[in-house]
Amino acid sequence: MRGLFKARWMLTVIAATFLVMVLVNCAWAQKGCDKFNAGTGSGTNPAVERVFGKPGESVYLCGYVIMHVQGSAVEFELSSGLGNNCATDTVVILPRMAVAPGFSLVNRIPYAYGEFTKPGYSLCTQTFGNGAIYTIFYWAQY
Amino acid sequence: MVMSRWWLIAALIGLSGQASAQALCDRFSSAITVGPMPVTQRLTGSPDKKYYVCGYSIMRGAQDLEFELSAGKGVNCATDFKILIPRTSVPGSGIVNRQPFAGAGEYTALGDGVCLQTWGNTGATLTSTFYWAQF
Repeated sequence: MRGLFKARWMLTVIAATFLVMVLVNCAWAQKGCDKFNAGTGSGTNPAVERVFGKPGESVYLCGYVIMHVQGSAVEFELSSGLGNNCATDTVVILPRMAVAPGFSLVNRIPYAYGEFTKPGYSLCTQTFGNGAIYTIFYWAQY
Repeated sequence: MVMSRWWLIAALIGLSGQASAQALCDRFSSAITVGPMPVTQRLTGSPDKKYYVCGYSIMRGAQDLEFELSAGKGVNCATDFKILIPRTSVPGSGIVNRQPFAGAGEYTALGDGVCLQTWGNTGATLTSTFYWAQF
């Protein structure tokens, strides 16, 4: 009888441990996106910092909205890097992309595991052309 | 006692199934393609692993362009070639097809790489981002 009780108790402990591991895994997998910012970009300009890097933390993009709002076609590029306006060790995340009049792009997921930067790197945007675009970025940083 | 054990086993199977169904999509790759391009490797295959496509964003410039996504072994998917997304034109508004978890979309056979091919005028551009997991 005592052996039976002990076996049941051990089984309960194993099940509880497994459940906690699964819950922790799910919680990690569903890291929320708690940051956003919106802004406009126009003309041909050098890269501008949109998300400032923090030492030891990466920026995880959860999505973006890119809309053409004025003038002729614009091209858009998303990059990351160190230093002022991603000037050092620049890494292109989204290569130069045409944004024509009437164009809008929504690319978004609810959790933080899309494009990401190296730890400490900032996120920068750059535009080329004569028109203007409106952009919204969603991200987590950890 | 026997019944409770079966309940426990069923619960463990269910929970582990839920965990694997929500596998992370923790990889991405972006590229710009200009003009027609033969079958070109975007993701290199790894033995005993599959690629699970979690989504993609494909945008074109002013000119029309067609693309095809495929899988296969060897350089540029040359061996055991399979089509994942048949040749299709990219509309002016582009294509965004994305979901947060791996396992519910396109996937390759074990060891396969993923390849892209485009057709169009020499000046036509295509900017693409692919999101995936590999396990």
